[in-house]
Amino acid sequence: MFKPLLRRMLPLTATRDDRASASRDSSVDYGRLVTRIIEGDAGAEEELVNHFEDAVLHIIRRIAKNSSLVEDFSQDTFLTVIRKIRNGDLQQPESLGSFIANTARFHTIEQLRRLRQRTVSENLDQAEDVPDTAPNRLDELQASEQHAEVRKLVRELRPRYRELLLRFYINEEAKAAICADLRLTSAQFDGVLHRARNRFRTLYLERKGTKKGQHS
Amino acid sequence: MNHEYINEFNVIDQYVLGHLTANEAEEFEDHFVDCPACVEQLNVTKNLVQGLKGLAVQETLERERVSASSGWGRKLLVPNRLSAAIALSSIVLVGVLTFVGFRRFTQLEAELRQTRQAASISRQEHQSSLAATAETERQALATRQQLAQRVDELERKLKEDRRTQSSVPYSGTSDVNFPIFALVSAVRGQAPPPTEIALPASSSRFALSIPIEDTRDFSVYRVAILDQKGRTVWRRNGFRLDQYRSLSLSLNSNLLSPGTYDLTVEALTPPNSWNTVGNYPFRFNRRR
Repeated sequence: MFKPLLRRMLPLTATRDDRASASRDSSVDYGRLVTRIIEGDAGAEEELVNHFEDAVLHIIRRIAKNSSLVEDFSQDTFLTVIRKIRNGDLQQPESLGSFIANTARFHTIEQLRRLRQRTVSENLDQAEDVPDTAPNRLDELQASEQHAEVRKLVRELRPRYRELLLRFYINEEAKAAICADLRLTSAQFDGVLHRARNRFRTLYLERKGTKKGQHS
Repeated sequence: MNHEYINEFNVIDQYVLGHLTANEAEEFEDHFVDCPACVEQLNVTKNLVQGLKGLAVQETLERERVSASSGWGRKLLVPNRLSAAIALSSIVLVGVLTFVGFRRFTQLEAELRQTRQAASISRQEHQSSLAATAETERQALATRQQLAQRVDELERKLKEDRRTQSSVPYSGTSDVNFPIFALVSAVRGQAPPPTEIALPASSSRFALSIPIEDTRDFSVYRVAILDQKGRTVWRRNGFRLDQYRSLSLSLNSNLLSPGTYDLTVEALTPPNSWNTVGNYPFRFNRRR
């Protein structure tokens, strides 16, 4: 019953981020939310998903590293969480976040283990179709827009700071080494990253027609 | 894990790049699952990193594509800046040398043309000079021939006169064997050598035959002999041309001392003016 609800969820896009960001509220009453879910409030279930879906996706992506499976695992996670809440398995509603995070991790690890076992033991003719991990048209469009924003950001940076960004995020060099080469302090380094992220966020939200203040 | 720690150690960046250990990652996840701010930061950072990596790949592929398509042309035409500079310098040098060589060639051609023209003019002048000289020699030969003929005529006349006067007593006024000298006129602009008159010691008289070059017919002529100093040593009027267009006169050998003289002939132009029609230089000497 939760799958239709989850299928209404948009893929991980800026709009969903915006919607999630707009509805995400650090002051959500977990106890009240759990109570509403137990009572069968569909709105509460949607509110639960909106509040935690980005975090869950990040957790699952770290473990699964596969975009298509991440979506599936996320849906399965929320289904499991809601079922468990309904069943009264959540004893401490204030630890709802940790509960969801652990559920996401355990579910993802378990699913990956099963997939590996299935791949080894099953006859290839009976094996399930391997999901196509190639980016679809929507993903390609999002990537193109993302490149435009990043290109604009990179052009705005000074060459030194551009080099910092590329060495840190692309080459994945150590912060200390970059600071030594570019003669930057740790604080200057952090400042550059902070400004780059804020600027990117601005461009990112401008594209979606939503302005947000800087978040430190 | 708190925000101070997260900011100090760039936990968000490390998480996105996958540099945290499993425990660190789980610890951070337990934090951000309840922290919308960190989740938002995570979203932005993840999109930024994805965008940077995607952009880097895209631009690398474009550079490789451009490099592959233009590699051959660039190698053939312009290998590097140094070769381009050398090629350009060579072209400039060849151009300058060509220009200088062409100018020099043009100058030499002009000089050759001028030299040929000068040589042609010199040849023409030389030929003219040769022609003039030949004409002068021809005229001199003709004159000598005329004079020789005149001398023969005079000698025949003298012999006849001698036979005619053989019965007349000796008067002492004429010498049968006096020599006759033909003078040569000095042509305007040219000075012929003086006619040599070497009078034998035994001759008391001598005759001069004077050819008149002037073709005009005058009624009367007068003759004068001037010495080197321009003094008139002898003059006579009333001469008339003979059939050979010459004047003849005889002189006493004692009249002249050895030296160079100038005999001038003047013609009477009506009503009363005398005009020089010829000059005849001669050198007088006596043989011993």
